[in-house]
Amino acid sequence: MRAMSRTLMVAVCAGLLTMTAAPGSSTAFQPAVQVNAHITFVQPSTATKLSDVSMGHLRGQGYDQISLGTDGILRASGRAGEVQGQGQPSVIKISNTRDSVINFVSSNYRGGDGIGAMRAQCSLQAGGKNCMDAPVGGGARTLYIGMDMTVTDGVGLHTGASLKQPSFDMSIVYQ
Amino acid sequence: MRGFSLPFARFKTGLAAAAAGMIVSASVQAHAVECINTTCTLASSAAIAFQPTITITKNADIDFGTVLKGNCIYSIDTSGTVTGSPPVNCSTLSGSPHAANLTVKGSASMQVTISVGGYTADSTVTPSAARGKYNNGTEQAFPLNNVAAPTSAGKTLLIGASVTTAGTETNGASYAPSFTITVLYP
Repeated sequence: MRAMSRTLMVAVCAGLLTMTAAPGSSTAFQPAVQVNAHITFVQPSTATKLSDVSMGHLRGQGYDQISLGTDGILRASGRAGEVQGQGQPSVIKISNTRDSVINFVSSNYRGGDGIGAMRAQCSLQAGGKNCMDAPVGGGARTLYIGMDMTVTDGVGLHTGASLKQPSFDMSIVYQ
Repeated sequence: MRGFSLPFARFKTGLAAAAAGMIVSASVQAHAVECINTTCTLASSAAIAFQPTITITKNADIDFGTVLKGNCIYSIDTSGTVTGSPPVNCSTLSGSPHAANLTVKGSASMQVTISVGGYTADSTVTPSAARGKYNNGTEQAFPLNNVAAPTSAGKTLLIGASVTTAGTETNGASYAPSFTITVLYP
């Protein structure tokens, strides 16, 4: 009888062990971990142009270099001597870029018909330090745009519809 | 009791180990026990091998960094590169994006299967299509069937995924959709 009970005991033990051993049979044996995917959103920033660059009316000819500072001061120099006057920088409002670092990049210069090489300049305050191609911290910004350009011999008198309007693009690039 | 040679102590050890979370990799064979009077003889022995419990340590969650708000699908691969679709309106802006990094430990000899489930959205940000790179192998979609034994030293599992965004998320806010990674002996 004792032998019989031991036999039964062994059988019971073996059965228990077999049940416990089945892989995946118990959630206690399913190692699992939760993975979170963190993501932060920002509103795309916008650039609103409040005004274009305006150099006013330049009289005469032969100005080789014309420069309009971000403070609106116009300087022209060339074969006809030097001229200084007042123009208007372009003003662009940039919405809050929060904590992003941004760059201002100029491109796609379109001159022609007497307007030669151009180069934009920018500052975050009128007449301030040039911010072109330099990283700038985030936040709402007002951008002042001036420009330098070279006038070639091909330039003529333009008024009204024939007023020459060289242009270029300003881009905000997130770093 | 004399002559009772059944390795009962091994069974008790096995039960204790199982209760403690050990995985038994081989089932116990039926035993023939012959008893004459009070003497019993075990006709065959049971071979039992215990495999260590699988453990998963999360070293890092996925981090997409800061992205543009929009109706987008952002994906991060196991190298931490984030792409947005459509690319014109969906791009990453800042931060240090990286994949999730897990360490899986367990048997030195038994392969494991790694699966994903339980995708859970956080508001309008819905995760999907998790992909894994285990033991410096090739990045592939789950499940990763019968991959290398994790060993006691552990093997690295890198995880990337995609999230779909509605474009109505709060500006400047962070979200954390989730899913579950499970590792099992096959």
